[in-house]
Amino acid sequence: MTSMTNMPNNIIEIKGLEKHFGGVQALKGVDMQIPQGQVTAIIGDNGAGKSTLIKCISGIYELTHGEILFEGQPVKIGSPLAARHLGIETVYQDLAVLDTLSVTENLYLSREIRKGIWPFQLLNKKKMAQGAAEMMDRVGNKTILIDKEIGYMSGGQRQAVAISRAVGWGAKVIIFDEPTAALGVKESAEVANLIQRLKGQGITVIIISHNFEEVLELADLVWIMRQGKAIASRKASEVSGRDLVALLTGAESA
Amino acid sequence: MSMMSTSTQGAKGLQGLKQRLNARIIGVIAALVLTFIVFTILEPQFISVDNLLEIGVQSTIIAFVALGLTFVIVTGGIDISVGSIVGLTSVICATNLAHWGTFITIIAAILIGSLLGAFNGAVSAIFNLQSFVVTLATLNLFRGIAFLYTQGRPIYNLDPGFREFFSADFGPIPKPIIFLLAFTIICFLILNRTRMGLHLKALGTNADAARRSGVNTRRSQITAFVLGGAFCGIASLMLMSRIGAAEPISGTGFELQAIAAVVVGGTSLTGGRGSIVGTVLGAILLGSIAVGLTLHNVNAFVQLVVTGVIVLGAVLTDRFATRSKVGR
Repeated sequence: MTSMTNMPNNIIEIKGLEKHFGGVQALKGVDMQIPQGQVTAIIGDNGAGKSTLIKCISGIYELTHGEILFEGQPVKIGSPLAARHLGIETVYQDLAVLDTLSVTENLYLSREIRKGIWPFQLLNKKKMAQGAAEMMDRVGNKTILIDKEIGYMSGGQRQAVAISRAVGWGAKVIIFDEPTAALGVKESAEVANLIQRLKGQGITVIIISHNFEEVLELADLVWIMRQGKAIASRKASEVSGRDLVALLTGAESA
Repeated sequence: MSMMSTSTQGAKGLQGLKQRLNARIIGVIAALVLTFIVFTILEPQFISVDNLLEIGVQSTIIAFVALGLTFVIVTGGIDISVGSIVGLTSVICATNLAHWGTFITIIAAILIGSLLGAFNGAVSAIFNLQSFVVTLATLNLFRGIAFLYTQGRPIYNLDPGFREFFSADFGPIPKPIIFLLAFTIICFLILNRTRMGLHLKALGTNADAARRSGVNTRRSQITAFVLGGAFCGIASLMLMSRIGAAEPISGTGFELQAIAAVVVGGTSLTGGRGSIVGTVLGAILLGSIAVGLTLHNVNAFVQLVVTGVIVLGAVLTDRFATRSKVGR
């Protein structure tokens, strides 16, 4: 179907993935390859199935049919934790951070460091605070107060925490769901920088986006989804915004 | 309850206190101080050691129920069957006390309470039902079983050795107060220093985000109800030893008093934020008002009115606190 099938290094390979919600077929047999160490963008109109696809990869939805290969092995991603264990982290559009918890608590939620002997294990707040500071450092944010509740922070700061939670745990693949939709110009530029930096570290990045300019600037490869299928892939360097629109709307066939 | 809102400003000056000791707790303390001043002016005996201990003892039973309920409410759930759990646990334990002896009865009470709580939690979590509706059903269910179990009869003359264990004095201090202190510390640690407590708060803040962050939300929800039930079990033991009897009707109305204590203590009914110390102070506040009014022979119905006004004030404070945060 595409030239990508011949490339040996696909970190994720999706084969015939279907997802039904009752009678509604959200995904109607998606075939997609995500190359290792590159930035791949997935674009599509509302309802094309981008978010559903991402939720299947990050363990929120169970697949109805089809399979996902991770590093060449078929895997079953039954929960967000399972995705995490594989090394797949997701930065959700709503960020999935918890407003009443501190930055540290958010970063360590469900991966807490504890001390003591079962059943008398308490959180090791000191170690987690050190780790949290290092994690925020890694995404280049040294100003955030790690013991402050995240509900009191700005959109950019919350995003920084959500990203550093994904990056900080040694993920191999990081999925960004509409990373800049809710951000200002300056903050969007920071996210773009960060994505380049992640790529430099050999991390595979997947971006879901509506913003073609951003996609063409950041991505190496663009996948186009329409009506529950992945209909085409293009190298970002070989395609224009107008081509993408044509593919997206069906004016040009794959 | 105007002191609750004014204390918000006072809280900012108290740098020494940790941020976690939030404005709401300072509000409860202010309300407690005010209550004590008013009642002491009216009747100096109110501040006597004997009376203070009496307030402590009187507050413990509701305080235990409220401690457990705090874990449920922090997850955004509610358990209105707590009074019935106390009733059913009491009659089963009282009936078998002579057989089981003190030690086994204590274990049994905690187990029965936990089991009834687990039932509430499991039904809510597995069938994705509002815990209010589930516990509304079990409020009747458990109470009905309690009546059937004893055929409506109360059980008197409980073993004095058992009663001693919970209600005698330890040195100058009544044991219930010591138990309450110990369990307050344990609950504080559970909520603020353990993974379990963190997950309960996460669940109450945003269940969906918690799940995506790797929290097993179903297990956390059931855990909260088990804790709630276990503390009802302890409350049953306290109640049995205090009055020396158990009736199928024991614990009726506890849910309202306990919810009142939790809410007055600054735990948000919408979940995500909870205060163990606040809950205990809330129970003591309501207890001291009850004792104070009784001391003045005030009609028991007035106590209901006062309690109602206090809860309303606390809920409104919570509302304004939440709104000002969201409005940012």
